Amino acid sequence: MLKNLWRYSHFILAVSSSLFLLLATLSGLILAFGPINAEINTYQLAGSQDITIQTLINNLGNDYDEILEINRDASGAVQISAFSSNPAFDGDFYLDPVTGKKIAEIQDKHPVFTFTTNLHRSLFLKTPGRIFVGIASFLLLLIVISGLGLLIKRQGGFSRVFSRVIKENREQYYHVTLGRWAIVPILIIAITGCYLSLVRFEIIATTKGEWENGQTTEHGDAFERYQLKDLRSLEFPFTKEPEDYYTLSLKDRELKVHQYTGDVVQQRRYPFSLMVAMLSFDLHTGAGNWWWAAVLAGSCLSMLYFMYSGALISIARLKSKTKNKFSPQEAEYVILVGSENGSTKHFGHALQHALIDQKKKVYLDDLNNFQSYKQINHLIVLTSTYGDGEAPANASKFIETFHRTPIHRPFQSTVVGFGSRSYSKFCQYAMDVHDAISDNNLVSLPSTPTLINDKNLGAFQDWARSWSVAQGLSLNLPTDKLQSSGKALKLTIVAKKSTQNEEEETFTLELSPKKRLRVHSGDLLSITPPGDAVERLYSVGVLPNGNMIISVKRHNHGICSNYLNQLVLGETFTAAVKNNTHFHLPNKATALVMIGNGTGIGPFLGMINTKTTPKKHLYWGGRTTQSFVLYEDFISRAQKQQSLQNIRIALSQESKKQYVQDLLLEDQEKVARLIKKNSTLMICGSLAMKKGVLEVLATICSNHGLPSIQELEQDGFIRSDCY
Amino acid sequence: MNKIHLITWIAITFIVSAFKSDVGSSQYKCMIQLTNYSGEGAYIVVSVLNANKEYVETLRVLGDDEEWYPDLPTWWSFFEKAGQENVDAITGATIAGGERSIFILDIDDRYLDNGHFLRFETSVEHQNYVENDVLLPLKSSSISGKFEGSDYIRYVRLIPN
Repeated sequence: MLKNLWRYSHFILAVSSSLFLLLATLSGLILAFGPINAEINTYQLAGSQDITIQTLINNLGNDYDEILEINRDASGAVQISAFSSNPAFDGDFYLDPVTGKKIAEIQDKHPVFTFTTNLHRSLFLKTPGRIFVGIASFLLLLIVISGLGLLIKRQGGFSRVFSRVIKENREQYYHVTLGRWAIVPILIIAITGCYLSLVRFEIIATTKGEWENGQTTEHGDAFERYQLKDLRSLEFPFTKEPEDYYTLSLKDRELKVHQYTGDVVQQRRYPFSLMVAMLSFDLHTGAGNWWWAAVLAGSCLSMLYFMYSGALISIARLKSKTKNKFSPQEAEYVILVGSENGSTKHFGHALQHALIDQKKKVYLDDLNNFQSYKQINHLIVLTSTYGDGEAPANASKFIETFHRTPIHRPFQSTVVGFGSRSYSKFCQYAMDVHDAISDNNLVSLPSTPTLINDKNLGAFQDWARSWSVAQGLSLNLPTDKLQSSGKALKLTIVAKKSTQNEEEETFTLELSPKKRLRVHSGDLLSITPPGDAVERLYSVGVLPNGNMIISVKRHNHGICSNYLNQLVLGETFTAAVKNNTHFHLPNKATALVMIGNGTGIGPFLGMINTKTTPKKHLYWGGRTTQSFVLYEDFISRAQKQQSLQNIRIALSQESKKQYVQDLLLEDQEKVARLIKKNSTLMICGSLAMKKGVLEVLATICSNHGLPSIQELEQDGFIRSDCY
Repeated sequence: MNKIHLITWIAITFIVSAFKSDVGSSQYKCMIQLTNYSGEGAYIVVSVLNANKEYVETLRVLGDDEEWYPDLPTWWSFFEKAGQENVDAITGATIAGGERSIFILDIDDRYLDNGHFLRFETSVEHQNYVENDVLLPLKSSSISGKFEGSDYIRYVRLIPN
């Protein structure tokens, strides 16, 4: 609930202030180059800031007829304003505090900065503009606070803010990752911006204090006591009359100094509000500090990115809003979705379409909108889990609502949880929902919910198949709805190798994309043969030259495998790449154990030819030596460039008639050692092989006192992509 | 005869006026000290008025952003029409509450002792316009000294330079 509030405010605030913030950010970005530019042209002379003010006055010599004042700006450069009959000493200019001579004219601010400052402060609208900008900076402050609230919720507590961000999609990942660093400078920009506006409209008074008379605190020469680096300005006496004093402005106060005795005659301290205003100004503008100005410029850039990525995230959320053909009261099938960012909703939509195709009355809605449905026979809940086992945005009220809503009619239910094993509380919320629903006696549902890792399409299709069979339906899930399918791209076959034995024929295709694209070994290539509606997914290996390798087994009646098989070298066909992050090469693993059988070697062919730090061990199982011929070239290339440390092959029809898991058992000491050292195990191939491998691994783990397979899977040390 | 008379008269007028403008000017060092008001920097204009309190010349403008000049309406209606050249030479930076500004005023001697005035008018964004913050007669006997202001200006001091 609280999170919804955070998100809602974050969204509303961002939208309502976006135009002003965009202008302020762009102009702020330009203005940040002011102090950086000033640093390049600075007239501060190294080491000259330590001289006393008396020395400075002495250094001025007799060339000036009259000195009005000396100012020192934030960067440490000294300006003088003086009259002199000698033009070299007349007027306002930058002063060398050691020689007392002019070093440069004071340049007018570059018109770009003047123009931009005006835009930044008031949008060229004078006072109303300043009010808008003031409000926008207050809204920015609220955006930062709501963003921080969301960040804490998302990461599962304040202390975990800097722990790993789980990558769901690119915009979201960088919105969060960048956000947690940029939040500090942006918070400072927002607070100081608000403060300066409040000062500006005199809501905070920054009047200098009253002069304290008489009680002379400092006798003797004040000018000997303070140094140039303490100085902000020194106003010279108007006349030589003793009652005309010097006014010496320091960081936190002003002194009136007697021009003949050097006594401090009067002083006034700056009120706290004024000190804060001066600090705010320096922090907000980066004046005098080029590296802080650079941080401010960086913050502006990141704000531009937040606007961009935030807009994309919001569009995705809004797009996933539900459209229904039937009302809740006529629906026989009710699908309720719990989704943080709308990605789980694709699955709900696909299911809804498939059921409507079967002439069923379906109603799709958010979990939070649960009510009593008059005609309900089936309730299907599809839900993700947010952060540390909490409900996603549109599901936070479901359990409470479910308990409160009277149910008049028995119905069947099933819960499908979506999550990522890289979260410690995998699918926790789906399990909570399952428990809540099973509390009601009128609802019958399976003993456990179905849990799906990393939006695995295959697993969802498996569930849908078995569920629809149980309903006596034959559902055809429109797969295009299930994954934000990659862009269609043209692939040319640049190499093909095939091998055949009495039972099977397999071949590899090396595919060259027309345009270079972002694809990693382990991603899926979606191929839909002409005249067919259903896509097939192939796990790809990516070679260093950007080409993709797929390994295909030809089935006698396989439409797609035969389609691919009849394509000849140089021929081009259309496919799409689907991101499959959980089966990418891990970034931080100490070593990699790749386990596969048959064509499951596909992604590994790319991985072993990638020069990354983890040592790589490959275990592969096939039928005969002939089956391995296809892959020999890739293996020997990898061994030559030392990106594959070790390979073992099990042949099921020849020599020792072994399966790949048998090799693991033989190598159990080594495998145990690798697991202990936090290696990542990646499994690709048939489900039967996966089952066998996991059994062996379970034995190895228990023999060597290692964590259980479930724990290893949960922590991402075991990853699999099987079919 | 009449013609000659007229020419002579014109000639004399020219000579006199030429001489008169050659009478020269006097420089005064001027300091404006503002009160400790809070808010933006004040726009300040120093001008010479004739006996009828009509603007004759603008001597000094503190504030270089012409965007705000219309906030000094009385002066602005004169200044806009006058199209005085070389405004940059008499323009300086604004000063805020508690601050002072010192500059040299070049006052034409013609203006002295014949009913002219020196006006200091002020305006602060979002606050008031003060037409006569300081108004003093241009008399050579009393031009040096300290003059209290009525609003944003605490005092003005003038001494011959």
